Amino acid sequence: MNGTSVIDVGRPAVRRRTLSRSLRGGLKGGEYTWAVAFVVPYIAVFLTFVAYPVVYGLWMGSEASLYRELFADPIYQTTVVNTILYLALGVNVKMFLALLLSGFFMRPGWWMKALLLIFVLPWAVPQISTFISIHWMLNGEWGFLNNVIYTLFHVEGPSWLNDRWSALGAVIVSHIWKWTPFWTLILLAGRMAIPLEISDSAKVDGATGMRGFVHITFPLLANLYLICTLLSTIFLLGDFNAVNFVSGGGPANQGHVLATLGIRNAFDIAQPRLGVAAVMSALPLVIPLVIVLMRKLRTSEVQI
Amino acid sequence: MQDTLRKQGERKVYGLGFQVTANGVDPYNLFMAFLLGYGGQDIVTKDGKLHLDDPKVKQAAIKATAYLGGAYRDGYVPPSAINWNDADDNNAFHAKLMVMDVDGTLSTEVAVKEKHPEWYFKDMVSHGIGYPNDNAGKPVPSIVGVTQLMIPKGAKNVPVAKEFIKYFAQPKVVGEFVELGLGRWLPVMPSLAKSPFWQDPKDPHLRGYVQQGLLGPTVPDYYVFNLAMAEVRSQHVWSMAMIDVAKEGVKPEVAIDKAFKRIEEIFSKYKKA
Repeated sequence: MNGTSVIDVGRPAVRRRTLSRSLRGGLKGGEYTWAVAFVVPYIAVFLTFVAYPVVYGLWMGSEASLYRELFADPIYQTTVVNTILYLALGVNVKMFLALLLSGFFMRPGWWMKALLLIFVLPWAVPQISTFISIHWMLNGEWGFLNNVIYTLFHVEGPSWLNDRWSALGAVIVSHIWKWTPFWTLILLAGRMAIPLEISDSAKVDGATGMRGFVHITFPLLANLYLICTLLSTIFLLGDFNAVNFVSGGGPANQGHVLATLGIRNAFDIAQPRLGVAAVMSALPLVIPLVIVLMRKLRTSEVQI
Repeated sequence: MQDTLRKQGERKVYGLGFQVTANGVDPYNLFMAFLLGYGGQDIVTKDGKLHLDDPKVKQAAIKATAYLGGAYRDGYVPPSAINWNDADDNNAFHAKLMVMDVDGTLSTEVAVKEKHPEWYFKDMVSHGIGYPNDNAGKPVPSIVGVTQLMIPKGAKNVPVAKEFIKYFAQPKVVGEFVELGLGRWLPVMPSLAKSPFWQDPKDPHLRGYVQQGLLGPTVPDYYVFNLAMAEVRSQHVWSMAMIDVAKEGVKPEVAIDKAFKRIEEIFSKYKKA
């Protein structure tokens, strides 16, 4: 005996075993090797295409002077207002319409299914070509819309994309038109997941029509609705296509959002760091959104 | 012209295809051509110095803004011009939206030469031989942009790249290259402009183009003298002045004061660098 207790000698060995076991997650021998083999490509892709670009972007937009230059640019100030409006109207109007339409498409009947098929077409067709079509439809001289107005009423329609607010409005409407079907389908799936017993017993208690929606359907959909709204906000913040192909950020750079301004700064005026800074300036909004989204997803996991 | 056509019932024909837009390089080229036409040649001198305090330069800038922006404001330029990209004035001209287009190359003309020679040879008319003189009767120089060849620093095969440039820069090769492009681009050597291709008396466009851009008086694009001018172009500073007049009803003097302030800011950045 050298004076060391049996417990003391055994402690590090137990720790090593515990650490090794937790790393292996209960897998043994060849199972562990296979698990590592399956995970390595994912980690490599994650590091190459997620971690590296994000860190590189943070590094490119890390100089304080970039943000001084950016904030002093009047185009940036206009862009921030446009982005806020695009998010507020684009997300909320679209989600509210999707909520209403998902209720409409719950109705029974084959014709409802046929109508749903037509309804999802805007989402199913390629977005760039549709946004370019909308751009030409709104052209002041040749556009379909103004030709219809002239044919019907013999008056010249306005140049829709020449005014900041009507151009931004066109972008928002295009986005809503394009993406409402997608979110309608998600909310429709959410409605279909509500057990029939709940709505049936609510009907017995007199909760029909609007009362049934307010007291039964919406509370059960609320978490899904919130998650969809947060996700849509994050998607929309990075949306380049609708703005670029409908209004081109015009007229005279008054219609940009942060995503299109970033590209303009990086490539049109050849200042890539300023472009990254424009996009990075959205981080104070994106990070809290992602945190709230993660927390809501965890909560919904518990509820399920 | 436009007023007459409108009286004849043409609903959508405009007189002038001015690129009063904040996209591409056309609006900068358009404005600079008018700036020089009004006598503002010394905006940047060969030593790279900026001369916005020169009254002649300021007056020229005000006149150019007033004319180009005013034409749009008064309805002589298609309203969609404010959102045009570089190809859109060409498209608008071919769609007969306006009677006259002003462009930096013969892109509009050569685009139809193969498929519709009758348009190229009969229907489309280029302004005569070279620029008209300015109001004082003096010749107006044409701004020439040169497309540079370069070998990036750290390139893997510099000797081969140099060999290629040596080959490509031979007058015979350059001459054939631009002629195969139907004359959209000008050659850089004046001797090449004497070829039967450029001097073809039957061609309604090429002789005037080569006279204006190569054989007549020319100045290099101003970014050659000071790189800040390249950013003035990419930031569309002149475009914003034209649009302020065209769309916002701003007086040309006020629009130019704002533009000059922005140009000074850009130039001061390059001084620091």
